[in-house]
Amino acid sequence: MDRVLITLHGRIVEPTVEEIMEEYDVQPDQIDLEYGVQMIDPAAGDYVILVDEDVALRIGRDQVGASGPYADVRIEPFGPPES
Amino acid sequence: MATKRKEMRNIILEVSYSDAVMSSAMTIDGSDAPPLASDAVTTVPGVAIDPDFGAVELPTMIEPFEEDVPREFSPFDLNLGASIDEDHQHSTFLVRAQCGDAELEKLVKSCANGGQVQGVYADPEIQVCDFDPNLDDEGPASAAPPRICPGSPPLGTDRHVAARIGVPWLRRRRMNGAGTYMAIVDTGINLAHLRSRGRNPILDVSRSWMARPGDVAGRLPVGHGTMVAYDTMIAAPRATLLDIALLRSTRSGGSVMAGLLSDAIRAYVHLYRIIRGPHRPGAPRSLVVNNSWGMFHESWDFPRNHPGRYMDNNRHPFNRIVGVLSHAGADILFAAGNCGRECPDGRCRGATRSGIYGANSHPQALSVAGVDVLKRRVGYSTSGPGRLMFMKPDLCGYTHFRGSGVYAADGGTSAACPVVAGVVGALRSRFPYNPADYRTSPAAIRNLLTRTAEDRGNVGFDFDYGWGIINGRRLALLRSLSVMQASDEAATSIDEVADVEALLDNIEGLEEVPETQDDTWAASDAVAPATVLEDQVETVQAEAPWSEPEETTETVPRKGAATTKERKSRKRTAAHA
Repeated sequence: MDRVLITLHGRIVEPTVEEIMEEYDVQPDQIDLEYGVQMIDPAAGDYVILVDEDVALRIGRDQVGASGPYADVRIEPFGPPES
Repeated sequence: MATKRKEMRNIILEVSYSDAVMSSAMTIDGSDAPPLASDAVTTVPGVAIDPDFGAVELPTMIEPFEEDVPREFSPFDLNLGASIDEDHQHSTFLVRAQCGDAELEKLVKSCANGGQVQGVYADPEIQVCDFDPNLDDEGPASAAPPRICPGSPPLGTDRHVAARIGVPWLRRRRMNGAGTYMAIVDTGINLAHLRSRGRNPILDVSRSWMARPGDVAGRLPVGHGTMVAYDTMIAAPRATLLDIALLRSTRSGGSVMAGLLSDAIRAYVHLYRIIRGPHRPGAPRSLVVNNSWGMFHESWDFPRNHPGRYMDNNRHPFNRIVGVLSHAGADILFAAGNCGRECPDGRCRGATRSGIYGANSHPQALSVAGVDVLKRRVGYSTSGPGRLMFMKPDLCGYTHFRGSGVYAADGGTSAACPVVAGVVGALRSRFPYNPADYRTSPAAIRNLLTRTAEDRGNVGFDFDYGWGIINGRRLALLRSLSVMQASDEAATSIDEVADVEALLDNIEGLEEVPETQDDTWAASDAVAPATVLEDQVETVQAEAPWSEPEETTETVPRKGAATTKERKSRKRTAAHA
């Protein structure tokens, strides 16, 4: 299953992946552990994780301050164009 | 003896109503049109009516005003809503025919005599309107090379680009990127290749970032990222490079380097830590972030109206962190894309409208389109509007020139973007980011760049060129970022730049720009087609005698040229006289 992004609001300051998994009831195989937790807006206390889409839908629906899922889009160089 | 073949002309006849014509007419109410009877139109002998064409009804218009009121046509007339007379007997009909010159003359005369034929018109051959690459945006330019498209040979070299963006002027102001971090968010940099091409790059390995474990900054395969790094060094050779190797995965079955936005978020978190982290004394304070990448087609994203979509959603986490990093003081540039309407990249799949997606059209980033060294928009450069911000792209950089040697041409908006990023880096070495001075904020710098750009296309902003082409020369002439310092005689405000340019010849010291053997345009520099290019860039040579990038700006008076002191002395003498 493709993974998607979900934004969480800082109920924990600078959380670890383990804390996120416990807080939001996420299993290890449902989250990208290597990706971890990325703080996207320190002033607002918002961070992002990479999880399975169904998990993102559940968290986004049930948790206050969470939003998503967001697309994890493929990107490519705008190098010398191809014909 | 051979008989001279009679030349037949294709004509259109406008004839008045008759039952026979009407019976075969393609009417405005959509009735079918059977073949036109041979005797349906009374005309002169020798005119061959085309029965298969039928007849086309040309209804008359009912004027909304009294007929005795003379009225001239005006495109601004709001009362052009004349209605159609639906009475077929008031209509005329068009039929197709062929005739010789003699018959044509008789036909014209019969019109004047009030016969059934009321008008005779030419029916010239028409063809599919193919794209004409020799037509540039300013009209026919048969002497110019064709418009740049995917696969076109390079046009000019990085030296031409340097002259175009005003590198000699930047050098004279010591604007070379020193004191600036230049983050190359791309496929990775190969330092050895840059050195082999005559560059002397400075790389901060400790502040670089690798998406793939095991990669080493500065030692990645020669590719897109190396080209981008090379092109930033055209204007900012002394910037400190940060190798942010984001696009390090390879599509299955393909060779194009790719990545995911989630990795881009990680890269931006890393850059945020750099700009907000502790700084060593003397370490750069400014950060320029070059992004020559993006998504090519809408299908790569969530479906339309999905709340988690990326391309038109400023709540997407990547779009948010772009705003956060800009707010922290980074100058962020994105390539506009390669989905131009004339010849888009194949990955665009023909979608060329509103193709500046996601962060590439972010309001807090510069969106860079591409022009060639002849200042013509390249055919693959994506036009606006943007999906996040309507008025995109912001401005143009030069592309599709021979430069890094990574590819035949440093092409795509991928190359245009770092050319502009280099100018931003050069500007930052003179006006570094200072959180306490709003005039140095990224927003102020974006305004400065767009206001000093060389306008192209429509006057002011347009969706092809944005506000125009980057112009380092105008930036080099600035002595202040503030228009509020008008009382300071030494200050040159943005608004005064145009005036100053007009007075270039009178600026002291300008004649002292070095002019050596290397300054001339070598024929080998112009790659294809060389002779034409030489003609076109002749003006550039006159404007900007080239000097190789140097750390110092020591200048050598041109032979025979007066020194500053001598000119001042002459002025004083003239004033006394």
